[in-house]
Amino acid sequence: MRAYVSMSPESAVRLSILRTAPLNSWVALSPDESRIVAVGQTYAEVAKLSDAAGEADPIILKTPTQWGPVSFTER
Amino acid sequence: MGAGLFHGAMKVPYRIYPDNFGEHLYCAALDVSLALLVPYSPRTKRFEAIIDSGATRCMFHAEIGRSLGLDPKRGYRERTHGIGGVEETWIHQVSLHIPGGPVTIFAAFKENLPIAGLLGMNGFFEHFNLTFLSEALACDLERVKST
Repeated sequence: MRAYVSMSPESAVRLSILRTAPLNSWVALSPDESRIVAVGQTYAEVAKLSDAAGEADPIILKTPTQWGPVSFTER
Repeated sequence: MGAGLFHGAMKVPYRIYPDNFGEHLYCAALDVSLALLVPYSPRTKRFEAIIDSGATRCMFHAEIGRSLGLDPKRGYRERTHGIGGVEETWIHQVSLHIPGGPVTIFAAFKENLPIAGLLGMNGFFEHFNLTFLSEALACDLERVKST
């Protein structure tokens, strides 16, 4: 599947970061989404690790078991 | 993109995600946080939720509920009919912090949700005029309902 639109520099950085992030994990990104500040197996763990890393206002997301289109049926 | 106050419309860039083929996909998503309906209750940290007009209500990973002190399974049990079949979710009333200020919603919490959260018709879309701008890879959000 190919995208036909140009990618912003910010999106390119985010894409690169997400490709390196562990799957089926909770990931905390810096507010500018330029780096991973913490990774955990639970939301609470990654929130705590973010604080420990000195980033009190991260953006937390959950990575799926594999990247791809989502229809929210994965168990 | 924060969940604080804003005036008028705001443009929310689509978020990029890897796909299975070494390429990428875009989704509309927003950083939000949740809190209990208790005065001065602390919010969760911001987390990324997918904007999903196909979702009847907002749904969040059960771990986020637990981080607030909720026991997800002490909520109202609801069976949600999705593309993949029937799923068990648990409903709690919480404060959802979105652009323009927080709103009180009935949110579903689900174990093993593959993402952190979904922003659905009830609790999210009802508060905005939302336009998907495919060429700009963004959506315009205009808050139309304050509570």
